[in-house]
Amino acid sequence: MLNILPGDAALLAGDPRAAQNPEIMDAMRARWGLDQPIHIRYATYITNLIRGDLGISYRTGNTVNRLIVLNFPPTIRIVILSFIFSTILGISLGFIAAVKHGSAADIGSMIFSIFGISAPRFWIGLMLMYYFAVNLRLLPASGLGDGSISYLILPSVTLGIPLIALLARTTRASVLDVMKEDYVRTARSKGLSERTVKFKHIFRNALISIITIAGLQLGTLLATTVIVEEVFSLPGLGRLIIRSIHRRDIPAVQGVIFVFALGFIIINLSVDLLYAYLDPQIKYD
Amino acid sequence: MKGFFKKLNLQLIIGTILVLIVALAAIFAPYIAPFDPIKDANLLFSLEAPGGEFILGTDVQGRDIFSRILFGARLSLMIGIITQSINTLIGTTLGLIAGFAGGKIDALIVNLTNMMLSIPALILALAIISAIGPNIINIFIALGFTMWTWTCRVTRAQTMAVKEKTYVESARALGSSRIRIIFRHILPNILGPIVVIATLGTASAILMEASLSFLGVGVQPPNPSWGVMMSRGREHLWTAPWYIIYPGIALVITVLGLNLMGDGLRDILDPHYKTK
Repeated sequence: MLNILPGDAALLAGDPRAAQNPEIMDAMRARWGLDQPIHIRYATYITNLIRGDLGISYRTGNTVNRLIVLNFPPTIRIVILSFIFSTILGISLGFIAAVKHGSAADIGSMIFSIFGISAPRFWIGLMLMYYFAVNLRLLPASGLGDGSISYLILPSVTLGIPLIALLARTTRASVLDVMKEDYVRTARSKGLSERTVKFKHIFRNALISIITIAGLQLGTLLATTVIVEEVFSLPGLGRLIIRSIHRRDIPAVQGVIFVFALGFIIINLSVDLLYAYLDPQIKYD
Repeated sequence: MKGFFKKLNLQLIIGTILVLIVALAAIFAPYIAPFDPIKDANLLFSLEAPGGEFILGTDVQGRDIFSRILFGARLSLMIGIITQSINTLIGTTLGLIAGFAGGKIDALIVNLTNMMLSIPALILALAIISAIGPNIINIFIALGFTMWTWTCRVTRAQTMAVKEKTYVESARALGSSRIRIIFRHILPNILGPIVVIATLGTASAILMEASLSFLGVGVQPPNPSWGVMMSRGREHLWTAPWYIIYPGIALVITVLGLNLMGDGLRDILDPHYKTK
């Protein structure tokens, strides 16, 4: 799809002086196979893709595989870090809100969550950066620095806030739903302690739908690293794709999109399987 | 109608007020704004702090941020409404066809929807924009043709449920044509959930536009898009935080308003969804 676009990639990648010389231009086009008709280029791309070869980047001359491997670590680090803390925080917030239904804690956490869903991630990121890095000088503002975890705190929090908000909402709704079930009333009337009822009966059953939402959001988390990496100047996959788009580095753009889509599909598939494992009522034939 | 007002809830009221404020700001922008959002640039007033002549301060080129935010509301609402209209049209049509026809056509549309959902919307939009270039028209294309999947899913599920109702059966027995059944009996009965999805979808379309513009692949400067303003303001976070704070607040108010409205409408219009 990306091949049908205006602008000669060879022209953009090459030295302006080279553009004056038609022979060099032809040589460059031949190198990337741009002189071939489109269906042949597509077939070549798919064949190479099956072999695990994503092509050569126009901009850097490196293989796209190498670029992806180089840019992968920061992305995966912030995704994992933010996923862990936002699921813990989001679920506990939602659980407390549901158990203390109608209390100030409930209302407070719901106000927080509607804001968390509505505020754009890049703005949250910049505000956090302004407060913690510029005003308080507690945390580094951007980049990877010496690679210590303090550089990853703000990006992960930024990435995670909307997820905390969403999970708090889902958990609350799901827990409130389960609380109405007959087996909860039965458990209470059996004389089980409130603690056992809350954690063994309510929480466990509510968890099934929460895990689905959390899992599906992991894919979205991966995609929104594009924005967070741009805000905090992290050299990850998201920054790679934005830079490649600006320079019309098509093989790199395609490669990163491929990795994102693959990650997204793998995550969703795992969630489906986990779901079947947790809820014996669901069967996949 | 009386029942409708009885069920009015706080969420819907606050949401509608917020959206109305933004809509009024957008409509009357040329009358309220003290300066021209693009032309009134004066480097002498670059990065002035809020207060005095410039209520919310100025940007790098010395343009009034308040005026730019007002005109930005126009751009945001326009993009949100137009892309969501495209989405609703595509999603509802496909959903109705899939739900009503069933069989192979249904399978085809469901597969198409799943295929679209297998790539995150932001990444899909980035891919389309990178192919056709960043400008306002292409944002409509990139967002309008990628975000219809939820509308389609909801419409399909609702159509399938309503199709089995006795009133549809009796209409069929009376010899109504398929078109008549769809427009007279099915569509009016599933309109509620579609309106809810459209409201929430407008909010996400506006957020998406801001994100794309922030990344530099959406609306291009000097247009006063909130995303563009914040993207420009990034370099001046240390010295001129108002450059980012206020366009962000405007964006949050808009999206929050639409989300609250959507949630509130869902409580009223969607019979399957009960407030807990």
